[in-house]
Amino acid sequence: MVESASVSSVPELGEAAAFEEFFLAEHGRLFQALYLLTGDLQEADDLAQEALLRAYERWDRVSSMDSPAGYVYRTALNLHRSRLRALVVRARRVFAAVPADDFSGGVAMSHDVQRALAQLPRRQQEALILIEWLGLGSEEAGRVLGIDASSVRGRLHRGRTSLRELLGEPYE
Amino acid sequence: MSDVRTILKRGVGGATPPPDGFGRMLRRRDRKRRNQRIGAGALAIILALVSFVALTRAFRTVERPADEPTPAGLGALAYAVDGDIFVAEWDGSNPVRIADGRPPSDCGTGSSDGLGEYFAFGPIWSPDGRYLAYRHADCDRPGDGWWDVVISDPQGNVVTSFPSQGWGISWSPDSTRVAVWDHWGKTIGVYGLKGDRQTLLTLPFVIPAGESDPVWSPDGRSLLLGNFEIPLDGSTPRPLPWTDGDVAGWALSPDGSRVAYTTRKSLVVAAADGSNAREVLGDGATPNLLWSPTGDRIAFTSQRSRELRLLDVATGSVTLVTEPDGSAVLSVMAGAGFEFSPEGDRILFSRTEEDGTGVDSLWSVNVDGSDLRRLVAGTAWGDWLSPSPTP
Repeated sequence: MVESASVSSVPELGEAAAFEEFFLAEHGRLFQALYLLTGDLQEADDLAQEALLRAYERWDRVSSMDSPAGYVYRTALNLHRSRLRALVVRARRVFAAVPADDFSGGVAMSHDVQRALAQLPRRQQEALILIEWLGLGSEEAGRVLGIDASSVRGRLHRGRTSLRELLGEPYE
Repeated sequence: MSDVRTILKRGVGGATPPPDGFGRMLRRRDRKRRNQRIGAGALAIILALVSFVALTRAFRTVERPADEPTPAGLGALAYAVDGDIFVAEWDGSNPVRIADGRPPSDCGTGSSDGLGEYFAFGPIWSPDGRYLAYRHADCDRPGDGWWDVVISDPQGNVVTSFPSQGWGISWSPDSTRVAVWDHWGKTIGVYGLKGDRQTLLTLPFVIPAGESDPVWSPDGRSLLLGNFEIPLDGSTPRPLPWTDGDVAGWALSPDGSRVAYTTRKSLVVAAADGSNAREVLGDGATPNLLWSPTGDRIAFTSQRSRELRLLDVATGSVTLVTEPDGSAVLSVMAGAGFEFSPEGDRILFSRTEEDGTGVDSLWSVNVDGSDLRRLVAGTAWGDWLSPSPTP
């Protein structure tokens, strides 16, 4: 009810052009972040499309936010969490076997990293990807995740340590 | 570029999104609108049925067990650590393990987020102190990503257990029910002390509420979730009157008459209907707010979670309660390791070391900053028994 009522606005022509510019700037980065999070290209594409569409439907409000990209990341993570149960199963499949159908053809994926990420607790995965991949600060990542910046830093620290341990990488 | 970013770059490889992303998004929007039109009619019928069923159940007499457990003493500390649940004195002394579980190292991989077999993310005690609610992970079935709810008496005798999703468990003010996600992001279940699901609330929209779990309103007639109030009688959920895109966090006063919320620029106190909004602090509060039991003070963290401060609501004066030494930061969320003692004279909080260990611990301090003491090492999740937990 709230959702369907609030999505009816259509951006004006100038706003639509501004959104397209925003889309082109954020799409690839968001897609790759979600790919790291899900280990699944199709899932990453679907989540990125839906998150950006929701921003488009609310562009009059989102464009005036301090960080429209932060809104999109938050939306994408919320969508991802709502599919968590299925993704937990999928993450374990990634751990057990190399992914099969890969619609991007010649992508040279590093399955050891995918497997290591899939073994991290979800909260650590999110903190790692928001900060290390998307380049957010811990304050902004905290706003995206709806938690305190200190909690983000704790998760990030543990995620870094765990990832290096799982990959057998040397410590700094 | 940090070395972890290099690792992630290796993980991404050459992955790029499929072509024509913007065009595909526009076509997705068209499909969505068409489906919404089709679904609107069906939704109206479903809502009417849900409302009828919920209304019928809302008026049902609340059943309480015939022989209720003896309540624990006010201020008793319940906490989860290393896969176990403990009940102790307020200061962590005389701990009694009431649920003996397997530690994180022996409990699947990530199924309980590194917390072990038994754990708790938020309030544990029922307001009357007769029961505790916490989570249980099946360590031998790691394919299941969610955790059961366990309700026990203060000695650990299990009263009931049932599957659910989400993280926190919220006790009703009358201690007869808990509310949890039944299906994350879609349905909320209200369960009685026999594990019977008394109400199932279907959300006809997705609430972009981060890690929010439903919590009870002080009057027990509705659940609060993110920026929405969801009446138990099945009527239409409504936005909370004080919320808009600028509100980062909020907390209702214990009697439910007032709300405190933070925006990007200030901390505001208003009536629960959103009226009489008054800025009480210009800058520096984080979204984690905690009302004192008497509603005259608000605790909050500031300086990027390196200070715990106390605001006098009437005068607007702010005092420093404590700041952790070294590199530690306060790690607080209202109702989850951050609360006032029942008398309002002490504050429970958690902190995380940033010395490379990331170790959590539970602490307590007098509101004037004296008698700082560590209560429990190794956890950020604890709950003092209080008759009026902050929603």
